[in-house]
Amino acid sequence: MSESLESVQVRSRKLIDGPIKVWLVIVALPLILIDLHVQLIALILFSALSLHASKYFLKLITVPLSFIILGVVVIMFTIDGKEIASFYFLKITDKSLETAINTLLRSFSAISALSYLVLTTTLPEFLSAIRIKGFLKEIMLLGYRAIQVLIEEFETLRISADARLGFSGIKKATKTTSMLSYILFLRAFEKVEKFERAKEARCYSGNFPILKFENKNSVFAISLLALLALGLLV
Amino acid sequence: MHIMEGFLKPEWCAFWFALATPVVIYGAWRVKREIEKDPKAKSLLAVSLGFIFVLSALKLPSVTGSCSHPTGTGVAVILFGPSVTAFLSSIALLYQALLLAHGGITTLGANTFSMGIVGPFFGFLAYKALKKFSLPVAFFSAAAVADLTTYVITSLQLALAFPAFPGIEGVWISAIRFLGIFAITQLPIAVVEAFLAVALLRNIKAYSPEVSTA
Repeated sequence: MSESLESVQVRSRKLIDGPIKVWLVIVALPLILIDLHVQLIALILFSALSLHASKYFLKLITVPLSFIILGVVVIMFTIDGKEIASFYFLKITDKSLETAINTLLRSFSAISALSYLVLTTTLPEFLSAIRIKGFLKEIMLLGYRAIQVLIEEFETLRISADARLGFSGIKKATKTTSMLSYILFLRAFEKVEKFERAKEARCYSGNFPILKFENKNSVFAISLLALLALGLLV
Repeated sequence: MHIMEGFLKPEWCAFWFALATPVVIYGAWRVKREIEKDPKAKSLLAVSLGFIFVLSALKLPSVTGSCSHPTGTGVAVILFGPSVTAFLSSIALLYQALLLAHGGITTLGANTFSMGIVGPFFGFLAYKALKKFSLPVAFFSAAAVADLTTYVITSLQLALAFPAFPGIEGVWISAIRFLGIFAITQLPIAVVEAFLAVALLRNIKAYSPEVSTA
């Protein structure tokens, strides 16, 4: 899962690159939350950027989008106001519809900005852009590595359990999942020891090196941000 | 129960960040002290972080036909204690946003508060209270309580952001509605996750007695 994602991140076409793209998204997100015009501009621009970056965009957003739509439907039936439509005991009101549409737009817009970051930035690049230091950086990078190893491990275990019909029926699936997670737990501890040995063998001294990343098209990034800020003024 | 990116208004994002940050910083401080005592703890913490991430990415079959996932924090809190769990789950949640676009950066504070702090904390209390009587019961209730508290807190967070009408009463009415709707999926998930936690922790206790639980 994350292995293929990493190759997507490396191969995607990055119109804006380097630490500036991380900051672009981090600054854009609060702006998106604030104002409707910014949301419209951001939705169009970031969707275009993400789609241009990689076709994987469409696959990436399916799960978050379905969660958002589900949540918005719930909101639509929650808020009181003047009734405009009803199904049995569920009512849609003028205020609930307004809130639902606002939330939908805000979420879609924010997700499109976030997905540009997801599609183009590997985690080490993200961490180097936000200039994280010390033990936090170490734990986060080692944790990232551990996630990849464990996901790969888990995938292997899952496939072999599936091949033995371990997931036929809810009861069996639950039992299988619990056994898998226990084995994963054991493997995790095995990995800790291997980690330690590998680090020592490479003279690890507490400094996890990351590549330096160059900014690309910073002018474009800044004008994009300026455009968003303009939306704030309108 | 992740609140998705952009779902909350800016003032609520800031509010939940303000509540969650001190606890996460305290957790980070505890972790730092641990590392200074024993540098080997770094790898252990890193792998625990991976374990929490993968555990919360496990797919469970749920009644509605869709796939849902456990939070994994009920297990984590028994193994690592509440403050370390808060710290590790805040990073796991950030990674879920950055790798899967699940959850979000602006809602990170709210999600950490419900899934990383309050849920595990009450799960931990349940575990401590029942530990003396029977371990499996304690495991079961820790996971179930952690899951259910997370669901209640998330419903409250959503109700505060989307009250039925302005004022405290509107918030309560909204909260009851959210609780009612989410109960359809969350209650079965909590039960399944609790069974899962019991099986996992019993295996750990039986076959790896050197692993200490809090």
